Amino acid sequence: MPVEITLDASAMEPPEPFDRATEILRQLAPGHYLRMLHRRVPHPLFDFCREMSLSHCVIGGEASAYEIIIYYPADEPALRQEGVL
Amino acid sequence: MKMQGLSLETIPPIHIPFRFFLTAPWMGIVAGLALLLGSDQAFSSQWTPELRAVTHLLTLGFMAMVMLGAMFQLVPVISGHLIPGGTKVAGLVHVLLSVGVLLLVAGFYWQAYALMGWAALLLLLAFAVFLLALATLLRHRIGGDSIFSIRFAALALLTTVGLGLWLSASYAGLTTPPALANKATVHMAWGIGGWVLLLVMGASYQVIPMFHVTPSYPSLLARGLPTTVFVSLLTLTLVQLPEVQALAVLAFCAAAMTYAIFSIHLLGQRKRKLADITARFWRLSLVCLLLSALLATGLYFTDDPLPSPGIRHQLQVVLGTLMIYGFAISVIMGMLQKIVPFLSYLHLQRSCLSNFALLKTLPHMGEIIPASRSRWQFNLHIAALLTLLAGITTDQATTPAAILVTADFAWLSFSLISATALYHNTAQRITSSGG
Repeated sequence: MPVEITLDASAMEPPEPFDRATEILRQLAPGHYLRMLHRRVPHPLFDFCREMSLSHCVIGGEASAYEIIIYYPADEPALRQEGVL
Repeated sequence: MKMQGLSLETIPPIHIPFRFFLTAPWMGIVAGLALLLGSDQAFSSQWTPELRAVTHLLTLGFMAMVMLGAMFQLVPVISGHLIPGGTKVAGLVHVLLSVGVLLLVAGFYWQAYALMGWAALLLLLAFAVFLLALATLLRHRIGGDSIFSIRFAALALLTTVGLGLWLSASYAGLTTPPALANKATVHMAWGIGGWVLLLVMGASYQVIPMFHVTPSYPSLLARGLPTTVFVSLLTLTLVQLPEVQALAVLAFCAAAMTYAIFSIHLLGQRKRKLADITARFWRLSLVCLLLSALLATGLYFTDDPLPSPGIRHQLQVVLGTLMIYGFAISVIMGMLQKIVPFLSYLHLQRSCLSNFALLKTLPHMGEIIPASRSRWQFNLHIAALLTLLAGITTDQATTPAAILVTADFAWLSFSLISATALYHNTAQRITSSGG
């Protein structure tokens, strides 16, 4: 079962969401994923994800405007099974 | 899954907006020097050669310069389409605008009206190239509330430039002036009340919620306000019936006041209440907009109960100062304190994508323009604004006002040059480290 790391960036001013997310993603281990709560779509972060070969998905969230799930592609089936994606 | 109207894929190279941002403060410095070397009577009326030269240095040389640079940056990002012609178009517009403004201002200052024909030609080319490039981006039916307002701003710019060129050509003796009542006032209303206010509205819909972590503007308000402003200006220009004109003035001023009050209210809802110079610049700017709208209403609906007709002229100069130096220049200076570090940081981040270890070595956004430097900018700016307003009522304040205006723009230039140098040094270090 994939392990969630949550980052609530909905009250952070730019570029803190990017800084905090990249710090987490640089140490992200397979089997873990990041759920980021954000009021905007963090496009610059997706370039970073591509370079790190991580996948991402943007979901219209309940508690904040957007939820961004960032994960290893190999974990996608497990995340789908868990209903995360 | 939902997506939002920002595309970082289409972010233009940093030198495109920066060439405009770095040139603009020099026009402000020249404006300060023109006031310093001009007559002590510069503020006695809006028609003195010094004041007309200074007004155009500030509106075209500083404000339009920054705004065009910002549009070259912002519109591709929010519309998701690259500027046709890219660097070449931006470079051409920058050179044409710079030379055109200096010729126009020289024409006003030395009353060398023959220069105005050349100025008109260069400015026509600058704005035509810019508006053509912009039109190809704005025709895409995307972009949300910001693009909605920016479309109106572009139309207002077209009208302002058209009227301005016509007036310049008539000064140069090339044509007869436009057959409009109060043509110079109409030109100013479209420039400041149209292009500037509509563009600030459009930009604020993006940058206030993004940089200051506030709720968004409600769409009904975000679209209703620019529509009201544009329709009011159109009515004021085309309909000469006094009752209709009065209604249009009321609608315009009500829209400006509603925008100012709602934006101040939004800034009060910042999730983080940390001291922020850009937010202070915004508040100063919005208060000046509010005061301008109140003064404009008062001036329009007061026939002439004032003790002296000279006071009415002075109040018109107060209105122009509040709108140009208080509203527009304050917001531009405040945004530059935020946007220049943000763009520098964004571009530096992207250049670290092939070597993540370098991300940790980047200067923090707060180091690119340090908070202490921005605080000095705010203090200088508010001192310059207050002294300018004092200069309208007493000639003794003209020299201090000119010195403070020069210092205000010189400080901005120093901050922007330092930020650019830090960006280039860091970018060079990243390249040599294999980033």
